[in-house]
Amino acid sequence: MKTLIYLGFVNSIRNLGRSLLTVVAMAMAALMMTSSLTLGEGYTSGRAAEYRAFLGGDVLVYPTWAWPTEYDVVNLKPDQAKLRIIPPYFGSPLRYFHPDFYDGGYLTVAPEGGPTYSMFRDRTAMDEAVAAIQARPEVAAVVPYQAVPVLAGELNLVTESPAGRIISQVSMNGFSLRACPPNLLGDAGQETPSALRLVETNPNPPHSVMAVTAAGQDKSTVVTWESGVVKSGGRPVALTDGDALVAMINRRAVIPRDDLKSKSLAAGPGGQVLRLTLPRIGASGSELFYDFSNPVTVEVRVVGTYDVFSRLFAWPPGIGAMCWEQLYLGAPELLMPEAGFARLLEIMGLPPGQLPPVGALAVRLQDQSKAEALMPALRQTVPDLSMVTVAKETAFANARGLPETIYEAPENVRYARPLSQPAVPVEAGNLFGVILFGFAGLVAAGNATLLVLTRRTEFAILKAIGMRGYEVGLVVMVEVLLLSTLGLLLGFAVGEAGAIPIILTNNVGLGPLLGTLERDFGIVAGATLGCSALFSLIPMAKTLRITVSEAMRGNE
Amino acid sequence: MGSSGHGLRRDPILRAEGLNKVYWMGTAVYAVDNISLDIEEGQYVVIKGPSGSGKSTLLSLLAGVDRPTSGDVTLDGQSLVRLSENELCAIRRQKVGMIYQFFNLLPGLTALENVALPIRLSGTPEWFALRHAANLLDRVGLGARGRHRPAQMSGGEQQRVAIARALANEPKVIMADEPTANLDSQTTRDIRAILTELNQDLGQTIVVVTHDTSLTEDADRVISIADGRIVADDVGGSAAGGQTV
Repeated sequence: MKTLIYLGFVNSIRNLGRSLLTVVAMAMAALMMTSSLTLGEGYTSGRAAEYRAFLGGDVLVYPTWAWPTEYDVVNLKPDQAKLRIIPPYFGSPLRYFHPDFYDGGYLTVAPEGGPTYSMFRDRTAMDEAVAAIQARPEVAAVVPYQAVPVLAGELNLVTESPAGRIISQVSMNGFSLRACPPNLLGDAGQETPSALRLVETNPNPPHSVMAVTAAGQDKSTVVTWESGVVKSGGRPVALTDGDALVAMINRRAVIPRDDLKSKSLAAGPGGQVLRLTLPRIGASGSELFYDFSNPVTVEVRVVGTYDVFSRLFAWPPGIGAMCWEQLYLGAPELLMPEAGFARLLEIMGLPPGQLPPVGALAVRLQDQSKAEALMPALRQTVPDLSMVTVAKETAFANARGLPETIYEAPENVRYARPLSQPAVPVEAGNLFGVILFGFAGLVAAGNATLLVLTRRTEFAILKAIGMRGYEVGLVVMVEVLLLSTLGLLLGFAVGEAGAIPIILTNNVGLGPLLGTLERDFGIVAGATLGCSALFSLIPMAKTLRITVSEAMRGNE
Repeated sequence: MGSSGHGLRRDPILRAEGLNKVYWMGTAVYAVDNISLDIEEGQYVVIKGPSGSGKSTLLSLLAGVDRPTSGDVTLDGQSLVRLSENELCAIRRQKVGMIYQFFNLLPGLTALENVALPIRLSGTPEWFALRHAANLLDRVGLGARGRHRPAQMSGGEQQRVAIARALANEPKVIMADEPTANLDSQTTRDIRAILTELNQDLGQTIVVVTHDTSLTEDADRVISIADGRIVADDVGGSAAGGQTV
């Protein structure tokens, strides 16, 4: 075998010039697949960056009943849990991903009588889950997603006009007060990855950009927006705020897009004091609940605003032009430092040490790129709970129809994908890869067959000196595989290089892409070499028909 | 001359019995027509004849490269016509060394690798194959050219490499098809000398197909062919004043 491989190697080097078609075809196929995989991952990472930063984790953990699968719904039995709508004030990050989130709440298969206050049964259940997940070495932090609903309150906005200052109010009903994830604090610790911190950038980029690509304009010079959570006004909340009742509010949820230039929060040097009506936390035995009949009013000082940058929505307005619109997640949330939020709960009546209102656990991993790979192991640590990765759910949510509002794009391109088939783009990509490799394989096979036919004497000599027919065929296969390997390396390298703009523009760092390098290479190499091996059977078969007597007739 | 000229009569190393090779070109064309012959171990046999007489076809039948339409070829006591393709491969690898008019070296390999290849195909360890190949190149006077590729060598040198390759697995018979046809007179003399030396010093059985009359001077036996038939079988060689049978 060693001899056959050596012969194949020598032949592939010697015939490299005549086999460039094979190398190029395989390189193109490998490039396309690498780009599809790597850019896809980069895109997913980038798209998820805002959600990861905003929610404070890469993985969300919640009770299994909170998000019923189709299987759960179809197999509901009369004596078991029934479909139950959990009201929207029940604070949970699932509202951004849940396929069955309506204005009226979430569709769940929650147990009889609950939940009324928290996704977790009691403090012990939550602490055990946190401890079990936190014990995994791959986990950097577990942050409970704590939120309380706002029943009433008015936020003052100021409109500067030639006629003077006009004050208007925005209702805070439907908003949530949430404990700010540590990564979004203004004084977040050094251990916080840069991709999850508040982004210091232009808070008012243009709504959209159109580039005439036919004129040779470089996309990278016009598309410079970032992903993540950006500080858009005032100051962020910080650990140094202690347990003061301060908050920063999502600007996009309170100021209409077209009014961003004219309207702002009416805030003095210390921020705007907001009087908010919140439900009191009552207790019935050991069970906690929101007592809406006995609300409590608190004053929270809004010291700053944030915007959650979401993805760039792109569409071609015509031939030779491209438009991009920056989307934002209009999350109706006010973020408070954890100590302040704890004090708020105390004011609302939560006894010390009792279960806070937790909608899910946000798990931040040491390496976000390994999230999908880690899921089976993480699930085993808390088998009674369900979990999803933020990146994947973001992709699915986007595929169903973006949760973010789109203003600029024409109606017909906003929801180009069938809502019921979120996986279509992935499958289409895979199908495209198969087709491409089919073509590349045929090119390689054709090229190799031609080479075999022009080198009949050479193969006849091998047979004449005692090489068996299948051994000669194996030499050809090795030759094709080596040429394909060259194509694979070229294509993969160029494909990865093509991911650099994604790395630069998505602010996700190298980690997510480098982390998947090995897996991507495995997939691309498997596809390239598998395709080559399969299609090399054609030139191999040709060698079987070469007779030894052809060696007598002279050289090629 | 070879050992057959001096010693006892032994079983032939190569035997052809009623050998026919027929091509159908509208009518039956007999490239080889009912040829029977015995070649004894150590004999140096030259098969000569005009172009198209069927001598190369006969050689390919004797080497197990081609299959006869009818008749039998026995090499070292083993009938070739009943063997499968893989078995014939093994025979060619172990018992036959072929030398061609166009040298037929593998262009991508060095001289040393060309010679070592049949040895390695026999499953011999690489280090041994390369050492043995180097010895063989020394024997044909090309010890210093082992690292050169065929394109970097003259025709005579390439043919000498081909001879070394033919000797690689210590074959029972070396068969050469017009080995000097593409060579100048001096190189032809060199190749003749090597073949004669192999026959005389090692007792190597050699069958040469040629129309080069100079080669017949070295042979123990000269077989003349015309129209696929043996028309003369001069045992002892014409130069030695042998007898036509």
